[in-house]
Amino acid sequence: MIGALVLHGLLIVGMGILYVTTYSFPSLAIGGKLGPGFWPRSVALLGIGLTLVSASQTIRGRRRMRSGPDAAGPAGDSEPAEGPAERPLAMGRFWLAVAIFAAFGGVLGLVGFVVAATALAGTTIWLIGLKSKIWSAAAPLLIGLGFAMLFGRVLQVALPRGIGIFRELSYYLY
Amino acid sequence: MEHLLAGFAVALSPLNLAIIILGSLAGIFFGALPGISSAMGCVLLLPFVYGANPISGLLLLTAAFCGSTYGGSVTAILFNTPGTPEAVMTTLDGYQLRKKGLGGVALGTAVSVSAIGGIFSTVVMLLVSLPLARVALSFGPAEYLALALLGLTAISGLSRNTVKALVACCLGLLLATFGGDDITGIDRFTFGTELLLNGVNFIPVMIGAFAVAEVFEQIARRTNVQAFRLERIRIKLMSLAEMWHHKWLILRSAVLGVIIGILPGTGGAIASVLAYGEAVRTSRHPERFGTGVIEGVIAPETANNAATGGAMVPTLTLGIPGSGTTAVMLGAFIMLGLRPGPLLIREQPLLIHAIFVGMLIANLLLFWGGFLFVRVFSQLSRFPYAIQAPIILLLCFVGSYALKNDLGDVWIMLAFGVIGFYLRKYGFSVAGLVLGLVLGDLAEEGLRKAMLLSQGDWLRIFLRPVAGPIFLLGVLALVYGIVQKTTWWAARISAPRKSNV
Repeated sequence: MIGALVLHGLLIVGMGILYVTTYSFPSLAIGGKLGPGFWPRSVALLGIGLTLVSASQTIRGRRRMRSGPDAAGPAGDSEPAEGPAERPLAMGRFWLAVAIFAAFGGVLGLVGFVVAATALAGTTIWLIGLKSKIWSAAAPLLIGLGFAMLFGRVLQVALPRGIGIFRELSYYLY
Repeated sequence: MEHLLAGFAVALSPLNLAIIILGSLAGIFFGALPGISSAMGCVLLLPFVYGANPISGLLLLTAAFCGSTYGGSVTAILFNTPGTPEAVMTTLDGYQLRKKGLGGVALGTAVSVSAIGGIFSTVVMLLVSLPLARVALSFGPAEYLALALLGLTAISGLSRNTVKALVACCLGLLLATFGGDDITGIDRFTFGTELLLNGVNFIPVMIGAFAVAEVFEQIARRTNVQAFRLERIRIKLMSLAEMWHHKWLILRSAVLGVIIGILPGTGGAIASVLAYGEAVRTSRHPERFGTGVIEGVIAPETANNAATGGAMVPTLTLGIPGSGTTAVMLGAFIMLGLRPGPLLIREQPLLIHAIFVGMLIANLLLFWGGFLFVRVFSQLSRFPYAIQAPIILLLCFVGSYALKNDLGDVWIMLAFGVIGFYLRKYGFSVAGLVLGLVLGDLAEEGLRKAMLLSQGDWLRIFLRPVAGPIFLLGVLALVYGIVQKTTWWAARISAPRKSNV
């Protein structure tokens, strides 16, 4: 429940910041002319109110759960409402996956698409785990090159080329 | 009638037929690749149009337009990654069906109803294009506002917890206000960064919240690496009996798709959102939507393909593009020395009818082309998830990056991958977030412009002859949704709980 309440709190803070920010917009309401702050302010206020209702539902649902499973609230109030429930979430793996993708985005401008994509594919395959050693080695390279050829050469998407030697090499591929 | 027959003769000539087949296949291919939208696909084909005879060139583009609208559903169903914005709602139930082992049924249904929607809209174009275009032009801001609000009322059916769905929707509505204000030009919520100056595009948000979040979740759940190895997806088209069973849903979605497609500034994405909402509202089991019901594929796929024909109506008859893709097509017309509008219909009836017939053939070809591409893409799903995951992540990257060749969109996508993961974890509706983001602009602009025109008189907005009934319908739908859910909840709470579905 703590996780759910933290998320509710973050939503309230986020929408609260947006609500306060709307006061810096000129708020003209003459002759029916609604200012640029009117709509986001109304939505933020509504959103904060609804988030508070949702948080109270979560707390009440938890209390009912404690007092007995038969008195539990609706399914949407419990934490893992969607997705397969057979395996618990390993949050360490989740954050590692996020870090891998963030690193991919970070080095793209330096090493170019082919190297970064190959590294992303390689680390993701390592993270999930693949039995075949041959596939583990070949797949990242095939994926990186395949994407560069399809999107960079055939479809002319301006994929990042990197700098220095990576840039020079990229011109041979796409 | 003679023009129509002449149109058939021209479109069915060997060269033009080959062009329609190639255009249709290219369209499905572009549509299936995230990042290559219908409009971008048409742009990529423009070099082939230049120098070609006008009829052949325009047949190529219209066939690609029809194909790409369907193509988006292939990756939406197989990988939870919508190939085009039009396929965003298809992911909700299409991917769930695939997870249940019913991917072939979802893909076959998508092909079938896409073809039906496309054919329906082409027939409408043939019969009543000019009067429809005039009706569309009479739509004002109040009507757009009413349509957007009607679409937003679908939220009550999108999640088991209406309050959480509404919170997600408010988040989407707020995101839609980021960037320059279209009416006053004032920057809103840019926080001093260039990244947010143009606002938050819904494509990176949608790709992040659906596809990236799904990959992260599978990784966090330690999905069995061999899980999909033996999966063989066999596409199963809808039988006539199934079509008959869903006749009203198909008809409603097709009509809605044509109407939304005709309205300038809308397009297939909004049509699919509204059709999905209608399907939820009129369903006897709205709570099942999002868990993998076939109606969740039928409604958006019928509507987004019906919108292709609808979007062509104002383009051809008035010279006003109904969507981004038709704007590209308008450019192609001008490039070929033609100026779409009422005069074009009078001066070039053969061209116009050949285009109509070309769209009809392209939609029929979807059955065949759909089979071919589903077979190609479904091969990917036979790989272990360890190989699928990086492919999906890279498709997501290209899908976001190729929009503006800007890494900023990739960061937005990643951020929403994380946000989407947590929203799903705690039972918030990601679909509600996307719904708010897609319809937010339409609703805000509609409200502010309508208020300006009515000089601040709220009543005048709600009492307009077309907007009024739509507002009323929206209110009734929302109340009905809440009441129905309350009863369902009450029954659920009192009954012993069996499963999460």
